[in-house]
Amino acid sequence: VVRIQEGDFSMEEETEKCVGSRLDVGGVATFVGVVRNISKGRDVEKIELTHYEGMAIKELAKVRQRAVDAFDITEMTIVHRVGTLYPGDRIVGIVATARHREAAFDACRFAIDELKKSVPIWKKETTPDGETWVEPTP
Amino acid sequence: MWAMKILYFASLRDRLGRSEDVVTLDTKTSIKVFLKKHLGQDFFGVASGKYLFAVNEEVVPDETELSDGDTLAVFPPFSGGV
Repeated sequence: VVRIQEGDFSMEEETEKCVGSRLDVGGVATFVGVVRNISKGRDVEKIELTHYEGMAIKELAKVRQRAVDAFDITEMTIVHRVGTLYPGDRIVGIVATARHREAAFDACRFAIDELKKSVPIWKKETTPDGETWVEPTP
Repeated sequence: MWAMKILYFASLRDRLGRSEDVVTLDTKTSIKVFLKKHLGQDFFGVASGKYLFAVNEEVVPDETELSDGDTLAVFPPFSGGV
């Protein structure tokens, strides 16, 4: 499952859905990205996430598929928010389920790293200095 | 003559003050050549590799030839995630 949405999501619900009724799942790894209140030494008031709608959901699905192909996981969910978010808000949630923990951890890490590189989503931060488009971090 | 839509995103959208253009072209041209002509001085950094390009929602190199009905998107590198 991959989704891009304005509203918040619950990691508990996403995790439950991701595991489903499978009893061969031995490990569940999750990653949650959260809006930080400081950026390059400046206080962050809010961020605005914009996306290229049609392309972003397709690229997100490709990231998930690459993770499924590359790691021995049983399922993966990626949810990414867009719109205006404030410090403490969830931005992105990833759940990876696997028979063994290594694959779940590795797939989760892979998904967030790949997502940052290939999904057309952009972040604008509002700080006391004004609005700044964020340059990607390696 | 053929028609094409160009979409701008993020900092480029702010800089240009618009989110899209619809143009007609009469000769086959690459993304790079087309954008230099179309945006002129507005297109900072076309040669510096500061922007990425997608044709019909697939990222492509800037020497890609444009075709009738294409949607070209121009954007800075992505900054989703955290």
